[in-house]
Amino acid sequence: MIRTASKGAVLPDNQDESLLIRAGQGDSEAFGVLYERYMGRIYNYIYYRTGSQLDAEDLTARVFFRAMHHIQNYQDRGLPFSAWLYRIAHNLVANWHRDNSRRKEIPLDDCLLTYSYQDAYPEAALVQNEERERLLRLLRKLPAERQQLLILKFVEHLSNAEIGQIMGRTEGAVKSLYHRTLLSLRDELKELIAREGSNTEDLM
Amino acid sequence: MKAQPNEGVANRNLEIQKMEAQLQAVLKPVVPRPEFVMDLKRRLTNKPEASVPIKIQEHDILQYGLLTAAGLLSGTLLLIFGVKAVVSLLNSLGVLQNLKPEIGSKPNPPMQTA
Repeated sequence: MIRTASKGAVLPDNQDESLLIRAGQGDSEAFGVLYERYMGRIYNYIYYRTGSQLDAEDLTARVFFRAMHHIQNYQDRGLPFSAWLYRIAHNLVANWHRDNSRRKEIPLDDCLLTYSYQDAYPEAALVQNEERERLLRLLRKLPAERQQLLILKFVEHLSNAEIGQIMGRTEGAVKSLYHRTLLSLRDELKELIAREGSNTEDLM
Repeated sequence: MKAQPNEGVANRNLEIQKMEAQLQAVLKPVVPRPEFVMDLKRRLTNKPEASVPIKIQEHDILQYGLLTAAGLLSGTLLLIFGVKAVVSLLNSLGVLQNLKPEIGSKPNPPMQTA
């Protein structure tokens, strides 16, 4: 069955349907296939929300264990299965942030520094890493919904229609939220750079 | 100088494009550790022993029957010995002797008048 989103965008058929039925009946192999299909996406979402590989692994595991225990209650309401998984991940990440609210800075993993020329041009790599760190820090200060939007757009390369299905919004609403998010991020970045610049001058 | 109404919009679009380029450079897919992926899959799909259907065979029925009989017998013996132990304890405390009528005792003779 082909489901059409608003504005005529055609979305692929729900290939998970038979797997979900079997998984709901206790077929662990079927659940294993679902796991393989969505694990990377959920992991990336949690990784960029938490900034930590260890926490991403822990929370990803919790997402799938929770999904497995409640799979028999899953009902197809016309939304993709990934939307359900993202909802579970969203809730677990929110709990994680609440429990770790005392932490002022969320440390970035060293693996974020992926530039291969860092050895030849350490200063350039350091500057780029700082810029990247700054942007990621700002990203994690955004409301959860906006973070999810940016992660789905840039990490998963989903269209506005697909993002809308996952987030329970129309395609137009996603597009509008996306533009507002980018402009907000631009303003925050300018402010942060200006603040860092004035702090540097004070030190001199 | 003529105002350029689209200049603001163009600048904004340019800034959005710049922001998009920055985000694209930063938000790249991260590959999880293969060991973690495989280990989690194993934990999720590994069936616990309790869920494996147990097939009862004929020799098992005999075994269960004998065990049940042994259980009943030992339970009965425990009950008997338990009761005996309680009776013995009460006897030693003299509780039962007060309750029991005296064995072989003659009934009180009627009173004789002078």
